Amino acid sequence: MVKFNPLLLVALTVTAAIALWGILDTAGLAELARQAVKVQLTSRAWFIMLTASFILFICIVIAISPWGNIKLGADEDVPEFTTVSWMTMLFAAGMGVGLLYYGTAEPLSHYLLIREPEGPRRAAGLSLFVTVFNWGLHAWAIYALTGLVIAYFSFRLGCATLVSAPIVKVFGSTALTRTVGWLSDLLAIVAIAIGIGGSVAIGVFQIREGVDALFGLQNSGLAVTLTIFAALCLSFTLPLLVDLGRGMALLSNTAMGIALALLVFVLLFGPTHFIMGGVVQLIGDYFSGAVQHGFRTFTFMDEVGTNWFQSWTLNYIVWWLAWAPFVGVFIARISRGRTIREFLLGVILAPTLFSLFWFGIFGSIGFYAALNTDLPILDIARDNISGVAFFVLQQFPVPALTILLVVISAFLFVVTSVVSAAFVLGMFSTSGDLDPPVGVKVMWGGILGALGLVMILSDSISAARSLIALGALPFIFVVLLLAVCLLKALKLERPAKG
Amino acid sequence: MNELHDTLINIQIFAFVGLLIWLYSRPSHLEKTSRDEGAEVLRDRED
Repeated sequence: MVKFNPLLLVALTVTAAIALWGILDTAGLAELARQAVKVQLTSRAWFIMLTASFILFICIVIAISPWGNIKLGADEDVPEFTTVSWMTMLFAAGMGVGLLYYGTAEPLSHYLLIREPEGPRRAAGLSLFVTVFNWGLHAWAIYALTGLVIAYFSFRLGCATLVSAPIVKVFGSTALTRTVGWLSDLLAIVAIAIGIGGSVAIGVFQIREGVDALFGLQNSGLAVTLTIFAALCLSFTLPLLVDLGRGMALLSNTAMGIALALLVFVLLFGPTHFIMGGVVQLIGDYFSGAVQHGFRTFTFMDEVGTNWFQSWTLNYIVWWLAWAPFVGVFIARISRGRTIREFLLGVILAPTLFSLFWFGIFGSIGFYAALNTDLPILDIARDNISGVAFFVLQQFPVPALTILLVVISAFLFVVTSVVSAAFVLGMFSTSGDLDPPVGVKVMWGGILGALGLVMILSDSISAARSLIALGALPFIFVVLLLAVCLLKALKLERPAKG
Repeated sequence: MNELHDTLINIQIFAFVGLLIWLYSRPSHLEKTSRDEGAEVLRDRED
């Protein structure tokens, strides 16, 4: 029996109302989101960039300070997972379906815009750099800080696994702190719900393109899209009804295993020297320019430049914020027993290095096709961004097999993300219950599906991204408040010995 | 871009940053609790 507390009721009402509005008036909601996000991103661009750089700075300071020796848990706790398995789970949780979707497509999209002013050869390197910046240290610092706050307050100070718990713990339980905490939980729930809804839409677009490529279809209609969506909904409802335990981790690891196999396949069967050259150059470009780029606001650019900056880098940072409470809870749960230093360095550096290889390899293969062949890859990147990954795979041996594997992997990434998100949403909306009722999880699964459907009906990735940004923007204030809570609590820790 | 709207959004940001700095610098409930617990431990030891 589901007990409706006020937070659950309000959170369900708000997210269901957004979903219903979107289904009844998809174009209207998408346009409203686009305009609202445009105003917010224009006025807050400097603050968003400064916040991302500040969060990275805080993470580095905490990691190298004596606080880095503090255990996330009791001093005698030991990590539950081996370091390799811990890192694999980190990649799968934080990147998921976006990796497959944007691997080649994103660098080429940047390239289309900057090849004129920069020249094609220099633009290729810059495009790879901007892509990895969007998926690198700054992104993972947002996840790391949110996860660290949740892990520290839950495992070290014994609080409930809620966004509001650190606020009430640090500032005391008063009417004001409880209200702020309640609002923070609500904002986290809305950000997660809309963020995962966007992920469902991206997954469906990706799978549809894969089905088109497999069966030689040309822009299959809404019927195919909705069939894929229905199959996804059925697939994630079962694990919500029946606890599959470690089965979910197995599905997630399978999706990540397929992605890694594709990475090695493309590296070995593609122009390996060109790809490795691109990767090595990218490593140098990234580590020498990431800090400076974190403060770049493109204020003096023309409208085309600022639009590009808003729709990519700023949108990504807001996207990471949307996913932060969800991924934060997940990485906190798998990190008990690690020191703060291990946690921060592992969560920030390992996925960034992985992103360098991932985008270096898939991006370089795209640039090889664009710069050294007559293949129409740039036209595809401009006209149908969802189809780029499959176009690349069609140029390699056994395309039917690799495309099928991408479709399976995207399917598994979406299913595992929705199941985990429904669990986290259930936990947040039932005062931190570590085993939320099945009814609550299924309700959240339904809401996530409905939000995904809204973004699918908009039939536009940019509309989906505007909606995600709209849901996540207020959460930037919550993350900063959580950072203050963490710093105040850490001040009271006696310096731990290494 | 509506200048007034832009100004209001940015005032909101400045106010929030000011609030964070104030919250960070003032003694918190957790610090008071921790101080009280420390004093209690000292008293117990003296006893």
